[in-house]
Amino acid sequence: MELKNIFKNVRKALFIASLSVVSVFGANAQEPTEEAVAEAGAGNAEAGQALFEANCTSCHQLGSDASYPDLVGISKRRDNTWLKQWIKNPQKFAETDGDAADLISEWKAKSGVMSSFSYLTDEELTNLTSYLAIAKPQAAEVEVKDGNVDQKEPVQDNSQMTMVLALVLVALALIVVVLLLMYSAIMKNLKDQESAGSLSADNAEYVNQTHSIFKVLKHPAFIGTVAIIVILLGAWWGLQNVIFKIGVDTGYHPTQPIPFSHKLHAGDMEIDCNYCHTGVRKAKHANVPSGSICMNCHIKIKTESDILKSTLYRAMDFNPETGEFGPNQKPIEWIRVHNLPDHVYFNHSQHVQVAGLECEECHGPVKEMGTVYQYSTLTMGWCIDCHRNKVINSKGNEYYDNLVELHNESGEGDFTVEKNGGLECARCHY
Amino acid sequence: MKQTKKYWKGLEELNSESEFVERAQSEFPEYLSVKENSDQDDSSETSRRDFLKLMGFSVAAASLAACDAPVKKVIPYINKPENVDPGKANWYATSYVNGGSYCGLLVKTREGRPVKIEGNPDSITRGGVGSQALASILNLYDSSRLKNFQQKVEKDGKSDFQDVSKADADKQIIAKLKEFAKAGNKKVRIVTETILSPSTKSVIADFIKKYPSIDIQTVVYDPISASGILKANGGTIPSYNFEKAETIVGFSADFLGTFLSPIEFTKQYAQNRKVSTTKKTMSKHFQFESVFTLTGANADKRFAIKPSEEPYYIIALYNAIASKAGRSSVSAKTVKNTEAVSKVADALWSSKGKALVVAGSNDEAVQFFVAQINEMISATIDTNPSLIKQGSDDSLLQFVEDLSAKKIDGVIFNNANPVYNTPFSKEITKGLKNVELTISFADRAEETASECDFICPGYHYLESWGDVEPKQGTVGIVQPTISPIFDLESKGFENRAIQDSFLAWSESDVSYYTYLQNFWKENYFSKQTKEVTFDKFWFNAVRNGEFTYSGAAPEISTVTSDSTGTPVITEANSTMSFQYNKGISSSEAISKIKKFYKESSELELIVFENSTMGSGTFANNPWILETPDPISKVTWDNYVAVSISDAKAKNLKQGDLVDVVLKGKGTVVLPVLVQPGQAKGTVSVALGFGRTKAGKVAEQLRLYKNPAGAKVKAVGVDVYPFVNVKHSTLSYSASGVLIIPTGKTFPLAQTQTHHTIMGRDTEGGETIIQEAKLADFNNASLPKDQRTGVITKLIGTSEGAVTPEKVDLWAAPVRDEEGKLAETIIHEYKDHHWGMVIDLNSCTGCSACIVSCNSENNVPVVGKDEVLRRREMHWLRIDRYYSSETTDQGFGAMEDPAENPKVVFQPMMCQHCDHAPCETVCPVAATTHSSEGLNQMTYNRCIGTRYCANNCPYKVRRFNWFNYSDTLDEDREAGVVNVSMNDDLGKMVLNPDVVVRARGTMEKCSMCVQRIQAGKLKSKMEGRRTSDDDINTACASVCPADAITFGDMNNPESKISKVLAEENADRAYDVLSELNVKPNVSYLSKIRNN
Repeated sequence: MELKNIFKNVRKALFIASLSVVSVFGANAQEPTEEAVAEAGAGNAEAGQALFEANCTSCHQLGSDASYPDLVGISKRRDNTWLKQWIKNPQKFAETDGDAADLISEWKAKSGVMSSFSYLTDEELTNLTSYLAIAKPQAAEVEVKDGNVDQKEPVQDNSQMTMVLALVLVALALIVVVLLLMYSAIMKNLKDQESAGSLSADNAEYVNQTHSIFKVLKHPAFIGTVAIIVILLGAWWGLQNVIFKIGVDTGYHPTQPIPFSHKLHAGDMEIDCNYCHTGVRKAKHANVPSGSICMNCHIKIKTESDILKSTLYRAMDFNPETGEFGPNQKPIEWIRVHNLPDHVYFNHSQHVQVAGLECEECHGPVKEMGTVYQYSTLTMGWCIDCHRNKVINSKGNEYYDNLVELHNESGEGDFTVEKNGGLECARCHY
Repeated sequence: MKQTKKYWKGLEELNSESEFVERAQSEFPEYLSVKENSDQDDSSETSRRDFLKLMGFSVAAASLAACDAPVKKVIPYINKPENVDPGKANWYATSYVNGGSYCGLLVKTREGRPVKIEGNPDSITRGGVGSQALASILNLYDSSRLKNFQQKVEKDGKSDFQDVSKADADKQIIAKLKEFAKAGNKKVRIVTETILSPSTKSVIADFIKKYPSIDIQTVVYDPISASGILKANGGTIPSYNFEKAETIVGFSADFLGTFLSPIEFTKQYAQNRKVSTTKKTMSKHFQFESVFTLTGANADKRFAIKPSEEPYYIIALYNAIASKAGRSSVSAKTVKNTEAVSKVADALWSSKGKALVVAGSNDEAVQFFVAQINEMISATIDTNPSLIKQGSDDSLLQFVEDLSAKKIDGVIFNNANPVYNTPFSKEITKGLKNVELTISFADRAEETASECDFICPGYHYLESWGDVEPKQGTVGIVQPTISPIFDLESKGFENRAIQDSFLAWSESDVSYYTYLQNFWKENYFSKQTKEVTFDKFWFNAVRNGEFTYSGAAPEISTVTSDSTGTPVITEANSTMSFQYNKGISSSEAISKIKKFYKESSELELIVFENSTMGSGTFANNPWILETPDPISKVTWDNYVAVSISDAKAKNLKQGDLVDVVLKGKGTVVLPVLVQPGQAKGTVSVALGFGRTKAGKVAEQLRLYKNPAGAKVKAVGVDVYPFVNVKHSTLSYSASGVLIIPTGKTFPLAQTQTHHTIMGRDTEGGETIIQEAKLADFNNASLPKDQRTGVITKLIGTSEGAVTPEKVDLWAAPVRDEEGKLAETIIHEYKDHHWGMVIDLNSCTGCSACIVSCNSENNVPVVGKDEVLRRREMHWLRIDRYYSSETTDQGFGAMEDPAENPKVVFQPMMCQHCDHAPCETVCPVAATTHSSEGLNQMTYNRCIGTRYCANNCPYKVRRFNWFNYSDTLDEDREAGVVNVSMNDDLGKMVLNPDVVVRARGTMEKCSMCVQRIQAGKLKSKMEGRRTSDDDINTACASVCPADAITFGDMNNPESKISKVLAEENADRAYDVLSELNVKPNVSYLSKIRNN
C-alpha cells in the first residue's frame, strides 16, 4: 500500500512540474509583443529616419549639441524650404542666405562646415524634414528601450526554466531518499524477523542471497558492452567536437590593428552600418571602410585621442594639430574575421538589399561587441538551415511575381528560399 | 547509284587506323599513366607502399592544416574611389588593334583590374571579338614585360642591358638628336607597323618638325603586307562589304580569319549566311586557295589551286566578266578548270551590284585585275576606305637597302619587330650595328629591341589613352582600364606611353592625354553639332568608345622626300578617297604576271598567317598557343601541311620530321601534317611561330621540344625568312621547295580526335551533324527530314521501330490527385529555363568562343605534353568534321573526295541534358540538376571517380589530373605555361567570381552560371523580370557570327524563345537525339548552297 502511494506522489510531482513548464512556455507564446510604433504615423517620417540614420547620425546627435548642432525641434526654428536648401548645399546656400552664413561662421571653428548632400532627391528631403519634425532626443529613446519588456523577457524565461528544473531535481532527489529509507526500513524489518525466526521461506531467500557485484563486472560480455559504449561515445564526442569543428571558427576574435569598437560606433552612437560598409546594399562585399570614411568624422572628433594618433592618424598621415594630411598614407591592414572558403560564392547585396536581412541575423549582436568576433558558425549547414526556413521577401518585387503565383498554385506552404531552389548546389558553388 | 555523305574528324578516322580505333573506345586511356614527370622511366612508377605513405602524409597534413587556419587580412582603400565598389564590376569602352585586326571593346574590371573582354555593340565590329583580342588581356599581366627603360652597355667585352631611368635615357637621346641636328645631313627612320591613331601620327609629325635639319622619315610596313592592294586601289584599302554581297569570290583571302579586318567581315558575312523560316536565301561564296583556310572551310565551293595558277584564274575570271561587260579581254595562259571560272563569272554577273571579289595576293599586278573585276561588277565596296593597313613594301625595302649601305644614323622602332617579322632579319641585325642611335618601344627585349641601344617600354593598350581610325570617318577611343602596372614610383617601375616618349624628345611639356584631348577638340569636336561643350563631347566619345564623322579627315603633316632626298613637310588633310586606280596599265600587269608566275612540276611553298597565331605578337600567350587551329586542330606548333596525294607520293606520314629547303633562303626542320584540302603540289607553313625572345612561355624548354632540336628555345619554327621579294613586293609563296624526310618523328598535339563521340557516327553521323541543301530547304513540298536535314532515328523494339521518346527510362511528369508532383518525375521548369541554340549555318569555326570561355571560367592551360595525353581542359571545343560524298559504302573508297572535303564546325559544350546520364552515375551527387535547367557541377563535392565523364555521350567533361594552379615547380609544364594561375601577376586575370578548381575534380561548362546568378540579382535589385540584356554567356556574347543564342526559354520575349518557336518544327535538333537525353542546347541544321 505504501509503495502505491509513493508512486502516486511521484506522478503527481511530475505532472505539476510538467504543467509549470507548459505554462511558462505558453505564457511566453501568448504574451503580446509591443512594437514601437512611430508616433508620426506617416510613412514619410519612417523613410526620413532611415535617411537620417544613414547620412546624419555620424555627426549630429539628437539631444546634444556637444560637437554638432542638436536637431531636435529644428523644424520650429527653421522652415522646411530653408532646411532643404541648407542640406542640399550649405556653403552655396550661405552665399545667398544670411542665417546660413551666420550658422557656418558660428560652428566652423568647432566642427567644420557641413558637407553637401546634393544627391538627395526632393522627395527624400521631404521625408527627412518630416522626420526631423518629430525627432526626439536620443537619450530618451535609449531609456525607452531599456524599459522595454521585450528585452528583459528572455532573461526571465531563463530563470524560470532553471527554477522549474531545480524543483524537479529536488523532488526526484527526495523521492530517491524516501525510497532508500523505505528499503532500509524494510530490510531492517526483515532482518529483525530473521533474528526472531519468523521469516518466511521466500523472504529468507531474498535476505540471504549471495550474489557478488564483482563477478558481473568481470564478465567479458559486460566488459565488451561497456568498451563498445565508451568507444561509440568517444567517437560521437570526437565527431561533434573535433571533426565537425574543423574549419568552424565560431568565436574567432583576432586582435585588430585598431581596437575599433562597434559597440561605441554602431551601438552607442547609432551610426548606421551602411555608413561605413558602403557595399553592403550594392555589391558582393560589404566593404571594410577606407580610411577616408573614418576621417569623415575623426577629422574633427576625438582628435586628442592617443589611440587614434597611434593608429588611424598614423595610417592616414594626419596631423590633428594642423588638420593636414601628409604624403605617407598607408592602408590599415585589418584581420579578416569572417572567412568563407573559395568555393562558396556569397553576395551581400542579395541578402541585405533583396532579401532584406538585418546585419545582426548573421553577424550577431554587433552593436554590443567591442572588437568584432565571429558569431555564427558560417558552415554550410547553417546556411541551409536559414534557406529552409526563411520566407522570401517577395513583396513589391516584380521579379518574384511569377514565382509567387506559381508557388501559390502548388499550395506548398510558405514560399521559402528552398522552394525557389535555394538549396541547389550552383546557387552558391561555381 | 546511291550518294552517301561521310563525316570524319581526321585522316586517322577516315583510314580507320588502329590507334584511332583503340583510342576511340575509352574516355581515359589507361596506357597514359598519370605521371608527374614524363622524363621518368616506367620503372619509377608509384608503388602501393608509396601510395599509402603519401596518403598517410596527406591525412596528417590535412589535419595539421585544419588546426591552424591562415590569418587572412582585409586591406581597404585609403581613399575609396567613388565609382569602385569591391565585388562590383566596372565597364569601360576601349578599342583593340593589332596587326590589322580592329575590335571595339567593353572591358570588365574588378577592383581596378581588367578581368574580361567583351565586344562593344556600338562599334563597327558590332560586339564581335576575335580570339586574339580576347586573349590580349593576358598579355597585360605578362611578367616577361620590362619594368624599366633599358640601355645597352658594354661590360667585359659583352654588351648587356641595364636599367636606366626615364630622365637619364631622355637626356642621352635628346643630346644625340641635337648632335644630329647640329651635324645636319643625318638620317633617322621611325620604323613602325601601321599606325591607326591620328593623334599619334600628329605627335610623330610634331617630333619630326622639331628637328628640321635631320632627315626623319617614317617607314611603315606590315608583317603581312597589303602593299599590292594599296597600290592597285589608289593608295587605299577598299572597304569591302560582305553583308551586301550576294556572291562572294575569294582568292587566297582568308577574310574570316586574318585578311584585313576579319571580325568586321565575319559579322557582315554571317548576316547573309543565315537562313530562317522567313529568310530563305543566302549568299554564294566561292573560294580559290591553296592553304585550307577558315574562309575556305566556310565556302560553298572551294577550289584548291596552286599559287602559280592563281593570277591566271583571276585573269580568266576578268576575261569572262569583261566579255559580259563588253570590255576587251587580255590574253594569258588558259586555266585547268575553265568550267569553274565560267560558273563563278555567271554567278558574279547575275548578282551585279551585289557581288564582291577579294584576293589576298600582295602583288599589285594581281590586285589590278581584282580591282578591274570589282569595278565591272559594281562590287559592294563602301565609300569610306579602310585604313587598316598602310604599310609600304617599297619603303621597307628602301630602309633595308639604306641600312645595309650604312646611310642611316638613327632608328626608332615603334611597335615594330622587323628582325622577326620581315624576311630581312640578317640585314637589319647587321645594319643596326652601324647605326649611332637605336631605340625600341617594345615591352620586352624581343628580337629587334635586343639589337637596340635603348628600350623605352610603352604601355599595354589596356593601360593607355589613344585613338584608332580603322576606317575613314570612324574613330575609336582607347582608354585605360587600369593604371599602368609597370609605371609605379613606389616599386621603382618606370614605363611610359610611346606618345609621351615622342613628346618628351620633342621637349614638349604636354602630356599625351592633354595632347589627345586638344587634338580631338581641334579636329573632331568641330565636325559635330550634337554637343555644345567639348567636355560633354569628350565624355560621350569615351563612354561610347567610337565616334563617327563625315567630311574631311584631320590635317596631319606628312613628310616626304623630294628628288634630292631632302625631306619635305606638307600640311595636308589626310582624307583618303577610294577609287579604282589603274596604277599600272593592263599590259604592264599582264607582262609582270607572265614573268613571275610560271607553272612547274616543282613543289610550291606558301607561308601564311593562321587565324589563331597571326603574325606572332601572341607568341608568349598560352591561351592562344593552346587554342587549336580551327582547321588542323593542332596546338602549340606549326607544321608543314602536305596534301594527301603528295604525302602518298613522297611516303610522308603525320608527324614525320622533314627538312624544308628553299633555294637561296635556307632550311628549316618541321613536322608534317597531312592536310585534306591542301592543293596538290603545294605545302604550307604558318607564320608567327618560332619566336626566340618573346618571354617565358615562348622560350620554355622543359617539356616542349622544338622540332629543330632540344636546344632551340622557341615554340614552333620561324618561317619569315621564306617570305620572298618579287618585283619589289613581298610575296608569301615560292616554288622549288624541297621536302626531305629526316627519318625522325615529332609529335603534334592535335585535338581533332580527342573526346570523339565514339561509335555513334559510324553510320554517317546523321544525328550529330545534320544538313540539307538550300534548294531542298526551299522546296515546301518535301517532307521535313529532306527539307531541313533533320532526321530522327528510330529505336527498334519488339513492337517495331518507335521514336526514342517511347522507350524512355525517365517518367513523364505525373501529378497525383492533389496536384502535387509524383516522386517519379524529375524535372519541370516553371520559372526560368536556360537554354542555348547554336546555328551551324552561322558558325565559322573562328574559335573566339573558346578563348572567351577560358577567360571567363578560369580554365587552365595544360601545355603541349598534357594535350598530347588528351588532357586539355577547354570546356568548349569546336568539333570540325570533314565531309565528303561517296558513291560507295565504307571509308576506304573515299580517297578522291577527301582531297578537298567540305567542313562543318560544331561548337560542343555541356548540353545540360534534362535526362543527364552523368547525374545518375555520380556516387556522391556532385553533379545535379537545377530547377532552371542547368546541369550543376559541384567541385567541392566531387571525389574524382570520373564515372560521369565515362557516361557522358558528348564527351564534354574535363578532369583535373593535376593541380594546375599554384604549381610553382618550373619542372612541371603547367608551372611554366599556365601563367594565369601560377604567376603572381598573371593571377590578376582570374575571374574572382569563379573558383579555381583543384586536382582530382571534374569540371565542365556551367552555362556561365555566375553570369546567370549575377543577372538575376541585378533584376531583383531593380525589381523586374530578367531579360536578354541581363544575362549572356561568355561564348555567345563575343561570337562574331552571332551563331550562339542563349536565353530563358520560358520568357516569351527572349530571343531564344522566338528562334525556337520558329525553328522547333524546322531546323532545330538535338545532337544524338536517339539517346533521348533531352539536351537544353539545340542546334540548327546546316543549309548549304549546293
